[in-house]
Amino acid sequence: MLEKNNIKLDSSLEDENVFTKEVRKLQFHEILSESLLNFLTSFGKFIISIFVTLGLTFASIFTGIYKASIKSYLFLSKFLKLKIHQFKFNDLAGRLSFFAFGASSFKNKQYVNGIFYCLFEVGYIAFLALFGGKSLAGLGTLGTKLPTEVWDDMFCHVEMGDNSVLVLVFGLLSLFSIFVFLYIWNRSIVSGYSNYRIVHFLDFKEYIEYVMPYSSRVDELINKDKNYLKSYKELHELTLSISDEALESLNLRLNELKAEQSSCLDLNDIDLKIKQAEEKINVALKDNTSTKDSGLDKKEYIISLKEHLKYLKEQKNTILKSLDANVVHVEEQIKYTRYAIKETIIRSKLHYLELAKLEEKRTNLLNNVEKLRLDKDNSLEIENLISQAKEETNEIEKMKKEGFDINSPELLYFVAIRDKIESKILKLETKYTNKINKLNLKANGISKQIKELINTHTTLAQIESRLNYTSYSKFNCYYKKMNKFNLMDNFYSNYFKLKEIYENSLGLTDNANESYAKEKVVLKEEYEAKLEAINSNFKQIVDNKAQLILLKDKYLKDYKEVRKDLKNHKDDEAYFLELENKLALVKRTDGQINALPSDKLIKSMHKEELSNAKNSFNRDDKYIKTTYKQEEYASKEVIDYMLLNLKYDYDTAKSLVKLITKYDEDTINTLKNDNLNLKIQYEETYKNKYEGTPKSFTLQFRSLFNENFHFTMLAIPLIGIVFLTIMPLFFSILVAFTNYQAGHVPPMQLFTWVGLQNFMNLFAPPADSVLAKLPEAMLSTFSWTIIWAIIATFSNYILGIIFALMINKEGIYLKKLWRTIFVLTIAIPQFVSLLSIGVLLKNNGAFGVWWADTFNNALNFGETADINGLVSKVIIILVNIWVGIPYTILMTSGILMNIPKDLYESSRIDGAGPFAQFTKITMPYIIFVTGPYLITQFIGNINNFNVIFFLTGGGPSIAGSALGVGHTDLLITFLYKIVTSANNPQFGIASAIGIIIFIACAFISIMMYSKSGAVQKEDQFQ
Amino acid sequence: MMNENIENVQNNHVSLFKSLKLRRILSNILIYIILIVVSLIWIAPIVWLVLQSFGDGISTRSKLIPNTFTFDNYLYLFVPDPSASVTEFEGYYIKWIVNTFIVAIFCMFVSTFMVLATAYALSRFRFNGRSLLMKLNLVLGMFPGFLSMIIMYWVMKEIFHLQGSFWSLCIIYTAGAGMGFFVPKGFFDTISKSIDEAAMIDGASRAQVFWHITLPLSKPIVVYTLLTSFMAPWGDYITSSYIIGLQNRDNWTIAIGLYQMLSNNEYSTYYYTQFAAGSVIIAIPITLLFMFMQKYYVGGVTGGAVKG
Repeated sequence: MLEKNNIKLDSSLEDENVFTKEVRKLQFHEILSESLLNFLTSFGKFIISIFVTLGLTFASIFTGIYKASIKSYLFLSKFLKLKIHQFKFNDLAGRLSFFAFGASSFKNKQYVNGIFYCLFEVGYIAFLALFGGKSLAGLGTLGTKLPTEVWDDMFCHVEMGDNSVLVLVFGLLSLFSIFVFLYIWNRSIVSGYSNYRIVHFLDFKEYIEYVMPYSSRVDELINKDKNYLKSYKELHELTLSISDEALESLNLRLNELKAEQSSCLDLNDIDLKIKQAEEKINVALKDNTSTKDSGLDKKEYIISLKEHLKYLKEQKNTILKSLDANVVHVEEQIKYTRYAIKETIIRSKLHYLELAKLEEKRTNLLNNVEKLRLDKDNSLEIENLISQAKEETNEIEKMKKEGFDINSPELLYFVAIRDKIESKILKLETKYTNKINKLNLKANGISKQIKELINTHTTLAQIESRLNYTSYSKFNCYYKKMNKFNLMDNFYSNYFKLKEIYENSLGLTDNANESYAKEKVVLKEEYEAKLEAINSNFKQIVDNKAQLILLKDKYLKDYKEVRKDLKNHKDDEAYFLELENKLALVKRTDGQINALPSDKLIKSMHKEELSNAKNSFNRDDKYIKTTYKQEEYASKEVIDYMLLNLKYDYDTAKSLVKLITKYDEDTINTLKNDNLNLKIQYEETYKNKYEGTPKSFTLQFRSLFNENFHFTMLAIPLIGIVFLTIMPLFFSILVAFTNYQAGHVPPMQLFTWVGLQNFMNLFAPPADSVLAKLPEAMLSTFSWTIIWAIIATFSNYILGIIFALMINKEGIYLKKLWRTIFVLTIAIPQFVSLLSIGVLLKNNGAFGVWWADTFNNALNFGETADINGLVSKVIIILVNIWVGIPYTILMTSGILMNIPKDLYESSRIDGAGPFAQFTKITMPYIIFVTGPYLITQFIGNINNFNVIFFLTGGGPSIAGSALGVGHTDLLITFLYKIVTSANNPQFGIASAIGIIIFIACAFISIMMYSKSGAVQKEDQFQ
Repeated sequence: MMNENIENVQNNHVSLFKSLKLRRILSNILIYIILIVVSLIWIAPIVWLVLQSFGDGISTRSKLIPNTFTFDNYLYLFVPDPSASVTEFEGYYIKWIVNTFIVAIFCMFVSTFMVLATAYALSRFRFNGRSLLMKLNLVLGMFPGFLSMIIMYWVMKEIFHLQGSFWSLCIIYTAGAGMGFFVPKGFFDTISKSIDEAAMIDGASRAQVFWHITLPLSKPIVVYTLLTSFMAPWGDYITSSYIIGLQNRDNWTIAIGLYQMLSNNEYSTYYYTQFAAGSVIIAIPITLLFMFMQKYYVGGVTGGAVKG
């Protein structure tokens, strides 16, 4: 039994084992198949993503082209409209400058610009006429005229024909020069137009009309747009430019004040007087020493003179003080505006930052609220519950109606369930509504804060108003001053006439007084007559009204009398007609009465007219004086004359009249001359600054070192880039469409356009030519280039990061030493290190010999190919690691130092280990920052000439390959070989290969750029 | 008992292994070993090259350490060798160094100016076409630079009349220098704009801000650009060989010369050791310069590379 049992047990155990094994097998298979499936799906996703990115990039290219074409169309139409406008609203010189450059500049006395424009036009026309036009025409048919041998009697000399290369170069140059010509043409027109606009400045009004809408737009932006930071930037720049102008104008005012101080008339007078007084004192003192007899008088005289001097000096000081006070005031104003501008800039910055933060918060909250609402609305649970509850209540009601026993257990059960459900609903609702209410309250509070901030922030308009004020004041300053000069001039030239009037009218005062008295009497009579007229007028109105009322009453009476007989004449039509007529009369008179003003109004009107008349009479009566003194009357006459004939305003006339008896002929002449001189001086010094004239050349030149500094900075580099980088690139792109190759090498042979022949040759060359095996060579080099670029970039990147992490690890000493050892490979010129390593690894180099000795097998680095030169390729990649890692190490160690330390500390507090820290903080940071670097590295590796050329020179060579391509040749070294080969250079095909390299680079970098974050946020780093 | 003992030992081992200190020490030791091995590999080719320069004849290249040490290789670079079998490059070495030095100095100043000017203008000014310029720079960078050398050869020959002269190299190196503005621009971007604004409010012009504020603040990037543009001509072969051509030995730069010493079998049998010596001679000052300026180089790379 026992045995049996044991056996049974064993067998059961065995069964179990078998079972578990099978289960495990099954599980294993499942796991295997699952992992396979996972792998397949992920692989499929990867491939699909590649296709998607391909499609997206093509789509983006097409949309880009579409957008660019639309943009260019819009630009062109706008440009043309602008030009037409500039032609229409311009003077003759401005219109002329459409054809003859610089005409308007000459007219506006900007000779430097005018000469430049003029010379440019002449030079350009000369250039086109001499050889530019020829080479432009030659661009269509490159190289038509071959060099020919010419026999002169005995000697033979070769006459050079077209050189295709030069034709292409100069054709391109003249094409470029057309663009430059258009640009300069535009510049000359614009400068002429702006000069015209400035000279015919429709005062500052136009300026304000131009500026204000912009500022309002910015304000709108602030109020409406949610992108506060962006609008802030615009505003910031605007404020800066505006504040510059404001400061400039204030400085001008300061200068003006200082000038005024120096050229003050009163001061000069006082100075003269002081000198005279001092001289007098000196003379008196001398007299005193010579004649002692009359000492007393002289002493008194001297004392009085000294007192006079003292007085004069005090006067001078007060004048100086007042002028100084003015200057100080303006200086303070400048200080204040500086401070204010600084403050506003800072404050606006803070404001916008705050606004942006608040806005973000508010939007988040609102989003939350909406989410919650959606939750609440969509929750099926509640709906179900509600419907359930309704059903339940219905059933209960039914049962009650049917007369169910109230205390029956079923009913109680139902009631309990209903209560439960209702309480649940209540709970849910209270929960959601509470949350929503809270969030809504918060959002409202924040939006209130935002509104407050918007209301309190200093807008652009405020700064602008300050600017407008200053610009107006500077405008007014000049014109006031000039006006004053003119008035004084006018006054001095009419001085004797005025004096005559004055003296004549002195004797006429009594007559005048009499005539004025008469006038007064007449005035009073007139006034009384007017009063009577008014009274009678109003009396008439009142009477009319009373009469009308009487008439109305009469008509009413008639009507009522006729109406009494209504019952007797029920069918009489004539009677009814009469009745109607009477009623109409009543109504008409009633209407007339209503049309008249009410009694109250009539009374008040009457009163008003009376008071008006009285006031005007009083005014006139007051003005007409009958007790003029002689001088008073004379000056009044003069003022009247000045107001009527010389067009002075009353205040200046009144102030000038006081001078009328003071001067004689000589002083008037001197004063007049002084005034004229001062006026001319002032005009010369300040006209350019205050009146609207074009900027002078010096100012324009100075702006090249201030607001237009970037022109100066970019001029030389851009000229270099355009003429020696972009032009050659255009040239080489064009060469790809020519047959520039062996047999067509200028100057003795020529080449012409061949269309897409070179690209065709790359893929399907004619079978019997030298290029027969070109497609295979292209395929091998292209695939190796891509593989090389990928492996080289990522191996350098990953290993570099690993080594950087190792060196920078805590507890590793001699960090500097390790780093310098790695950096050695950057420091030594690459061709030295690469050439020597090339020698070292070759079969007869030290390493090659050592390898052959130990493994009994030659390494064959770059010499004979095994499997597509695999050994050479692997070694090249290893050497590239040797060369390339240090860059990555340097960069990543710099980045590692830049990672904020707080991140690590806070993560440690949250319980992250070193591994988690590495994967969650260090790597993402490094990858984010070095994204663009990876792309440039990738492109750099595609074009990595040095490593391949110096290590293997493209070898091992492929037997019978086209144009001597080797296994390790990249596209770029292939290109080099094609171009430099002595007997069979293929420039056209080289250019085609270059274009293919460009397309590959562009495609890859577009794909990578669209995914890297650091590039897209270029501005946010600043 | 035995079992318990074993368990104890195992437990001890585990706890020891688990203790953080030991783990850190072990990993550090591992890292030290790796670093030592790798740095040996890094130095080895350089040391080998130095040793080769003291070697005697071409046979030394198959040996790790030459059999006999001579100083003749260095000597005959400057002084004619009486027993020379080939006299192809005799007396040219100094000419090449001088040529390269002139080109390098020229490039150092001119292209540094170009690069800094473009970088500053693009970093601090917002003008029409700024983003267009930046994009254009990206696109231009994707063309292989050698492609434009075909026409540059003609331009130098026909327009500048500098065929086969190293002055044409100066023009070519500096003409496109403005395109390398990326790293300095990244550095300028990190300098706060409020400093500029404060200076401008106090009355400084933009040029004064650049000279008196931005440049002193960006010393590392200035030294970095000076250093890189000085070093570029020493290592460039592809452009210089095509533009100068292989006929004008007087105008060769050092890279062409040293490469030509090795390229031909005829010459390399004699010139191999001289090549090594010449390489060491030009490598030493440049390496030393780089080592002294390393601080600025790293500062420039990281300062600019934070933006890539």
